[in-house]
Amino acid sequence: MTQQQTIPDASSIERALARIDELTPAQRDLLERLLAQSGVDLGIRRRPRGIDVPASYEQERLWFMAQLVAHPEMFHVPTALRFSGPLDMDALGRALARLIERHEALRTVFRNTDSGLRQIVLDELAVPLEVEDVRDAAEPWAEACRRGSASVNETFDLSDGPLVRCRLYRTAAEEYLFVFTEHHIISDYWSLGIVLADLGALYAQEIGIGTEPEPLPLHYPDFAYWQRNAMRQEAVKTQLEYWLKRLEGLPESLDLPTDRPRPAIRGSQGKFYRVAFGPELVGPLRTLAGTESATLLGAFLGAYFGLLSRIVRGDDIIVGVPVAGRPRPEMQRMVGYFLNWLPIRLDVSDQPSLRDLVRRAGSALAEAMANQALPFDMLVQELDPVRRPGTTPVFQTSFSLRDSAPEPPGLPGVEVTFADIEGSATHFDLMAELWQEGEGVVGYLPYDEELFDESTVADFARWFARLLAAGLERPDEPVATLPVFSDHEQVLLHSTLTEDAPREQQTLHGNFARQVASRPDAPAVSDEDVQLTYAQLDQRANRIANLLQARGVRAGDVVALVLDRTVDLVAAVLGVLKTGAAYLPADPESPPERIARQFASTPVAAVLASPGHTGLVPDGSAPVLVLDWDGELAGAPDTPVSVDVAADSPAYVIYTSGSTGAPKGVLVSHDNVLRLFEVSRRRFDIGPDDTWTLFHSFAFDFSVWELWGPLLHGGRLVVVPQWMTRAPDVLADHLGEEGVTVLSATPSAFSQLASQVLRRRPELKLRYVVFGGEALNHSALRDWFEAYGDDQPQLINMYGISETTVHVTFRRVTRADVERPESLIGVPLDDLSLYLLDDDLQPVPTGVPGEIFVGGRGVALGYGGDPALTAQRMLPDPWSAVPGSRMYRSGDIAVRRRDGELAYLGRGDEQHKIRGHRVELGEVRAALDGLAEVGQAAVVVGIDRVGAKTLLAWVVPQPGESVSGAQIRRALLRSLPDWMVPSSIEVVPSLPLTRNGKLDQAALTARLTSRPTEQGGADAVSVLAPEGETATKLAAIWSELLGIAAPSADMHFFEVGGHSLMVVQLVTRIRAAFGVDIPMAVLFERPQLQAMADALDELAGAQSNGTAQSNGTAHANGAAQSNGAAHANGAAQSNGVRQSAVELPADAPIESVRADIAQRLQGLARPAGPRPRSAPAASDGAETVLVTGATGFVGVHVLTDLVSRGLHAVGLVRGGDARREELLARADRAGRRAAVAEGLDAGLIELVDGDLGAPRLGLSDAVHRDLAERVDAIVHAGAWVNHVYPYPQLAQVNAHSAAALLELAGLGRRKRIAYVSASSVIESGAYRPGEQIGAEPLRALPSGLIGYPRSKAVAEEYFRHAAEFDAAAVVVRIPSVFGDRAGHAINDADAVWSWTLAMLTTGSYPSSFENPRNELFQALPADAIARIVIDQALAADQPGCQFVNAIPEVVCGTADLIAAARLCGWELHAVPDAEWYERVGTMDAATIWVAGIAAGVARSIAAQQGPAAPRQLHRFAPGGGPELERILAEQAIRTPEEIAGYLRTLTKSERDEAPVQM
Amino acid sequence: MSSERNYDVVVNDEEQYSIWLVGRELPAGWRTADFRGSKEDCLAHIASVWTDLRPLSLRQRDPQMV
Repeated sequence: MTQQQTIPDASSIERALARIDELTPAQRDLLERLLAQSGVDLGIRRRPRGIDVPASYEQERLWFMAQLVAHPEMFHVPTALRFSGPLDMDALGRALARLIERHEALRTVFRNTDSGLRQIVLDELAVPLEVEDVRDAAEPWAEACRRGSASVNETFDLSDGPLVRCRLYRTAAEEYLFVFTEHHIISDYWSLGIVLADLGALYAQEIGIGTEPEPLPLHYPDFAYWQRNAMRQEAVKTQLEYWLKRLEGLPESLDLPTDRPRPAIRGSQGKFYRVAFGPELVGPLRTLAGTESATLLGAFLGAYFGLLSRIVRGDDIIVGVPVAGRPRPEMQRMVGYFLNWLPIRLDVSDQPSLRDLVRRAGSALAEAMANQALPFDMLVQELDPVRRPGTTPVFQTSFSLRDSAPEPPGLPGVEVTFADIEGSATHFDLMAELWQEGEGVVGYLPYDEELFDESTVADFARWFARLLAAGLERPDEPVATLPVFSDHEQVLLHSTLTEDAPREQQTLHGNFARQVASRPDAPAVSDEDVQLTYAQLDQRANRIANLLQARGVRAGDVVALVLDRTVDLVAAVLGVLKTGAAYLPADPESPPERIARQFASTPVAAVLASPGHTGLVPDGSAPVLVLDWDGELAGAPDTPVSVDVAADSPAYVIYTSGSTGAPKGVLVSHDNVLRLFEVSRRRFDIGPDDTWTLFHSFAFDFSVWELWGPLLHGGRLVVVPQWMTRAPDVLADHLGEEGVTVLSATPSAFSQLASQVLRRRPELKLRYVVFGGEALNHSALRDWFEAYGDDQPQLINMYGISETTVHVTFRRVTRADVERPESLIGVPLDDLSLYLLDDDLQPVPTGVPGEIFVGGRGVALGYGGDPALTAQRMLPDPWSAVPGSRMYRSGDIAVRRRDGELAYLGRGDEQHKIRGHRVELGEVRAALDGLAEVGQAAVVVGIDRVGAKTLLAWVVPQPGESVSGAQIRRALLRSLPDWMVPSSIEVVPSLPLTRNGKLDQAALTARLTSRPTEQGGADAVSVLAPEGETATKLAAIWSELLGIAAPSADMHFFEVGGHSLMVVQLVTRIRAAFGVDIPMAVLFERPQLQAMADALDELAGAQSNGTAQSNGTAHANGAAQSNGAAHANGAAQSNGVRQSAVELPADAPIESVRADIAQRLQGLARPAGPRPRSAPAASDGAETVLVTGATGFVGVHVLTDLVSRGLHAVGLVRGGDARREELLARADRAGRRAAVAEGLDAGLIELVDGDLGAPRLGLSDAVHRDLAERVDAIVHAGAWVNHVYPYPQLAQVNAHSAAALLELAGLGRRKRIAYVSASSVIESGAYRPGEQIGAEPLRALPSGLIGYPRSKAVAEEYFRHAAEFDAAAVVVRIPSVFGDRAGHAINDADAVWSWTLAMLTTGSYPSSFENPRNELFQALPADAIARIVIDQALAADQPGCQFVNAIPEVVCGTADLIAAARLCGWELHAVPDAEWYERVGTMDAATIWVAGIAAGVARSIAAQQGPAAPRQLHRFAPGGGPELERILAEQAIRTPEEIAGYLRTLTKSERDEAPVQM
Repeated sequence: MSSERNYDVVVNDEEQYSIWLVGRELPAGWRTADFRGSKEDCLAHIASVWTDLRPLSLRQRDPQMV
């Protein structure tokens, strides 16, 4: 620094640099490092000689993509030129040869080596000018274009070259088409300009004009070499940090309104849509850009964001902007692939104006430009976003605006212009490639034709122009409200009844009275026992009305009906209306809580109840009248009741659940219902000859349609008894016997009925089947149409909403619809309007999903007693011709398809976005229905264990078919992209329906609650173990590559960290392990472990068949066996504490395990000696306790117990504080939400991001240090609870993590550790049944076949080394964990519940379960366990390790379980053991995880040929002091009554349902 | 963000209440009811003033409350 340096002269610099070029690669590398450290930048220099240059980052990605896509020709970049004039073809050929020689890039090829992708510059490469004479063709120019287009798609060989192709088509004496095609990997847009200019110059020289171009000192490989080395530089690091920050939490994908779902593999060559923006737009935009300090590119980009904000659902948008990627002067003259992408991200959630967007895009772009040196491909590697096959990473749309179009080359004497041929490529879903031309801007919107129709992109283009025009006119108005879309009419379906015609003041009962007068003796209504004529029905109604009046019921009142489904139900409805009151239907079959809620929220004047149902009426709600003709009604007169009732008086209050919140009572008027039939009569031919069914509960508004359809038209109503609605076979016959002509049904109910009708073929008179209540799946009607056609009966789909009176739309369903997966809902009834609007109440364009709003005469009065909700859901209708009218906000989402059809998509509050893709459940269901084995199927959206949305399916097999969920899954994976394949497919005998005949989604999802879940620590765990040898070996490869301990069968390569470069690795390793060459595309098509393994098997079969005979070697599978097995074990813990350690065999004896542990612990730092016990570091003097497994079943109680003791808790959780909501959700389930929330708010509970399976607990150095310094005690409750995996897969998380905890304990302050172990650690032959287990170390370890107990036991062995780390450890073995007594939560992981579920599911138990000596469990509530563990942790003092058995003496047996089940009302019967275990053994392990154990029991019973001896549990000596013994004695779960509390939780969701018969 | 946007309490000739974003053009037949605030405040206000959900014409014919 202080030394004076002489300034060297230029020639000595030259000499020095020349010497640098002479250095060996290693010397050069070292020198450059040193120079870089001292801030010296040599720039790009000639690369060292004789080395293989790696591909640049850009090339690497492109090469990879080219391997992957279905049509690699998408990376062929053509240039087509028209030559007119005397062309010297030989000179052009020579010029071309010199062009190839001049640019290294044009003679570069690519080879994949062990050390990565290399680019190799060939010394010589012949690229001939291929001339074809097409002058004889009928249309020479067209023929030339056709051939030229075809030539673009001819294959390039990346490893041998050439990657350039030149064709010259002679179309006339002096006219040629010249087609020059390059592979993108060696060129880009900028390069094209250089190449064309050079070609012109070389041609000129060849014909004797002009001079030799200057030789080029540097070439692309020099850049690539420099790039690979320059990446060490600080500047790049800073830029990387910038981009990582900008893109933090990036959205998964842009939800463009595509015309078709995205294919798994991008295969589109793409199409171009031409656009032009005139000076009248570009001029003002330029001005706006100026005032907002943006470039024209920035301004245009801002407007493009505006367009996107209007057509996508989501307000976090990323657009890729290409830059030349040549920031250094040396790069300017190089030919090669430099193009770089800047992902520009804007938040458009705050209603920005065009001015805001221009400003934001301009400044985002300027910032991005300042950070453009970082190659996008390097950024992608760092970001490692979840890769979606078929979706480009980070952004899916791009925007570019260039200053000018490229210049054609100048060939002396020849006129050269650009020619148009087919064959350019689109690399993103939608692109905008624009350039300035004169005062305007022109260009293309290239688009993926597999996703979009041309008409859709044409719309985008039109909307873009319109948005620009409107935005420039009003630059400060929110873009969200600018008039952009012209096709409003298509999404605003107005009532066709334009006038608000004066209505006659009519009522339902008034109209009914007219039918009574005109046809008194016609049959009106019948049930199983009684048939009434119109006059008889009227009489009964009059008597009811008179009685109600006598009891004080007046017009405007509400009368509740708690009635069975008989003719009298109909009489009662009429009777209530006659008094001027409205009826409130309360279905006696509803849960009593629901009935009670209805009474609580709507004041009723009287209750009319069937004799058996008076008890359902809450005390004190209102006078109860019994509908009993021999009782109270006996004396009531049948004289007509005359009350003046207005048409807009409420007729009924029907409670609707909606998808959120408590049910709300909708007030619907007489007029609402009368006009429903008025307008329906325009669509339906209904009259006195029709017979209708009352099929639905009168508490469901579909019944309103069924009731008044006949009664207002003189028809007949057949009341279907409740039991028959669940007996589709009987109902099918009944329809025929009763001559029903109009049947109304939910699609689910109809599906069950239809299968019976098709089987029994009753003689039907059906004229109409009206669907309502849920989305219609057309493909389910295939068989029906086959048998009955679509005309007799007509099938009508009606989308409906209670708040707008039963039905909204009408659509005739035809046979052709079977092929349409969408749920099409047709057009609104004539007096209703239907609008599709966005969140700003702006109409959405065709193709873009919007929320359904409904206006018109069907809009109900409101929600009874809830004006706020009414005001919120019923809004002023801006499009109505009637002043002051309202529209109802439905919360349903629909889309207007381009063919004009309206398709229902689902509820808006549960947008089905699965792993970033919009998924329509109907499509998934249709694919299921399409499988031959599948009879019926249901698909719902559920939440998986990490809180993400996932698809769940239930399938009823075709009669006679036997199929498993896994088989169906595999079949689906062949036809659907994997995100559309449900993560769980369960085969069931039937699908549950709700009382209203809709698919009972709650009952379905509730069935899922009975599966093992993790206890904390390790998450995202699936219990699906890979099946078969190939899958197991493949799992080992995944495990090594991805650092995942035990990949599960359904794990998705690209979701667990697999990225592009890993795919190359994976292919290489698969080749090594299996001898199979797997095309990369297959890995993307079948990204899940099991599916990939299946694909491998298929390929191995195919490839070995081809080779085995020719060379006589063993086939591919055989080779795999020899070298595959060896590393299967070692792989399981590649991310472990010590990478090199190899897992011992799963059954290694305890001595070997101990030696192994000692060795593994050897390298860890230990304190020099005993450390003093120091005061807590926390400012309030309270101790700080680190808790692993904080989100687990016990963990939540540990947290709250610590807080209640005034201690600080630090939860080690994967994801840290980001998992706060999940922790709260789990606490909620444990009944501890408030306590945990308070703790979090007060800072008493904090969450740190860590991972038990990772070295140093996955903590950053700083956090690790911090915890070492301030933690006083550790409660280690975390474990990966999995009862299926063998030991090696669980070892890392459950056993070896103990080393990391000891390591932490040994650093910083002195710590105590309580390890939560399990009673199952003693499950080995070394302990005799019934033997009392001391509070002491283990004598032996459990077998590793079911790995969980062994993994817990091995961890115990680690803590015996606590003294070496100056830690006081206590191993607390715990029994079965039940929820606390207040909440009765269930720990699904506990075997007790899985056995119980097996019992309830089969409706039986093995007869040995009756034996009172057959012991099943010892159990404590989780809160007691938490208390014990913390007591023990705080009491531990001396360095060393103690053992405590926190296991109560009280033992519960299988007989207690049966008793508990009976207490809960379950009827179970005994079956022989062999039969029961065998049956349970065949159950789906995903639902009944003890199925595997049961199968084992069944086998051993078969082997022993006798029943199993009563199972006897071990007894444990506690060894933890008198206080522990007291807690154990007091808290042990012991009685059937106690167990019953938990059983109710287990079965709560299914209480209303019959047990599932398997 | 949108939750901070202000609404007007609006009412039509049948004295049916609703809420409407400030600045958005109010459809014919509706007028503001002199209350402006957050969505929650507006709905709370409506809950306090709109005690009978029946349209005005019906209330006038038949004074009994539902």
